[in-house]
Amino acid sequence: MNEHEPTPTSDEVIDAELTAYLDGEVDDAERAAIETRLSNDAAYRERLQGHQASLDLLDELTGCETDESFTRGTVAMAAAHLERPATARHGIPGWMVHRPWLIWATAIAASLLCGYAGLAIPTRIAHRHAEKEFALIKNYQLYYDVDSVEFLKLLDDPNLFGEEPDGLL
Amino acid sequence: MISDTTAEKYTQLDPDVRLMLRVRDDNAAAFEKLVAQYQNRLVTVLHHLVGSRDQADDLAQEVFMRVFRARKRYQPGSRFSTWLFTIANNVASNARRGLARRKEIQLRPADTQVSSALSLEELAKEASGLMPSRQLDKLELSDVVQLAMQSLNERQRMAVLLCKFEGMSYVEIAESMEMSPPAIKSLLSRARVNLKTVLEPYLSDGRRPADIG
Repeated sequence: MNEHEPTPTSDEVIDAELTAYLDGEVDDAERAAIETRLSNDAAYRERLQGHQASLDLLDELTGCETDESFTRGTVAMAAAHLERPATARHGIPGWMVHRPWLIWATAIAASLLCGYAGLAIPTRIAHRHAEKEFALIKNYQLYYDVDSVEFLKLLDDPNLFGEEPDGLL
Repeated sequence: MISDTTAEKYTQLDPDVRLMLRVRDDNAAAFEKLVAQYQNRLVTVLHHLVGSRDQADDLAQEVFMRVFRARKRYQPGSRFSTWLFTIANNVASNARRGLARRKEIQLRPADTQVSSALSLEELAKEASGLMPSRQLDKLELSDVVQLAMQSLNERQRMAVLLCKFEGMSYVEIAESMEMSPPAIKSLLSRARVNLKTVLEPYLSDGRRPADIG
């Protein structure tokens, strides 16, 4: 019983007792006590008869009949529910419903790809820089002694000074 | 969480629990059998609860669909009927709340679904728009009792219907309505007193409905 409900009056206690008695919801001791009081107390007996009469009137409430079309319709609704794609039923992609392992596989593949890209791309960029600068490093001493690259190219020409005239030395 | 012992107990005890376990395993024939077995009982209770046969049919189908959708999570923690009527009670309550919200928006007065303690005459008048005495002249006793039922609030009505039509014990009604057994005892007692008050003219004088008004 709800603790906020008002304390029942003695009439309410009697009504609850008699209702439970009529519904077969009392134990042996309670039943014996009620039946003793019924045999001695006319007002109590009359009250029980009132409850019994209103309970009997409930027999006037009729049951409903449904036909086979109700069964068929309901089963068809259930079948339609099954046939509907999972996306419609749950609002999530179908492959997530039927192949949940794909979520993990995709996540792992994406992580690996990101890891590879994170390592490989900076390394490749570094290599390209190194290749470009390798020639510079290799000829560093030469570059150090000249004023310009054009002058260096000129020095590299084997015909720069022509042939030495014989007998000069 | 339902213990294995409880699940085993109800599986042994209730053949409909076993049927529902087959539904859980996607057995369509078992679902059809359950629907066929419970549709009249469910529609009867819902009809007397909401007062409209069409709405009762719709709500009963909704209840069966909820059963079907919940099949994979089903664990036998009670008799199947107790579980089914718990769902029915929730579906009917949601429908009533939806109706009450729509009525609030439309600013229309509450009808018999949400009213309580209306007299038979008021109910008959509201139902037909005719003069009460003329309306009651035409009523059969079953209509009078149905009107008297509408004078109860929804929880009282549900408890009376589960007790009357399903023959449920107070413990089972309490489980279906998610209340305690003493609260059900009190609820049913008040419901019966209300019914007795509304039906008093017939009870005390033996007057037929035609004499009322």
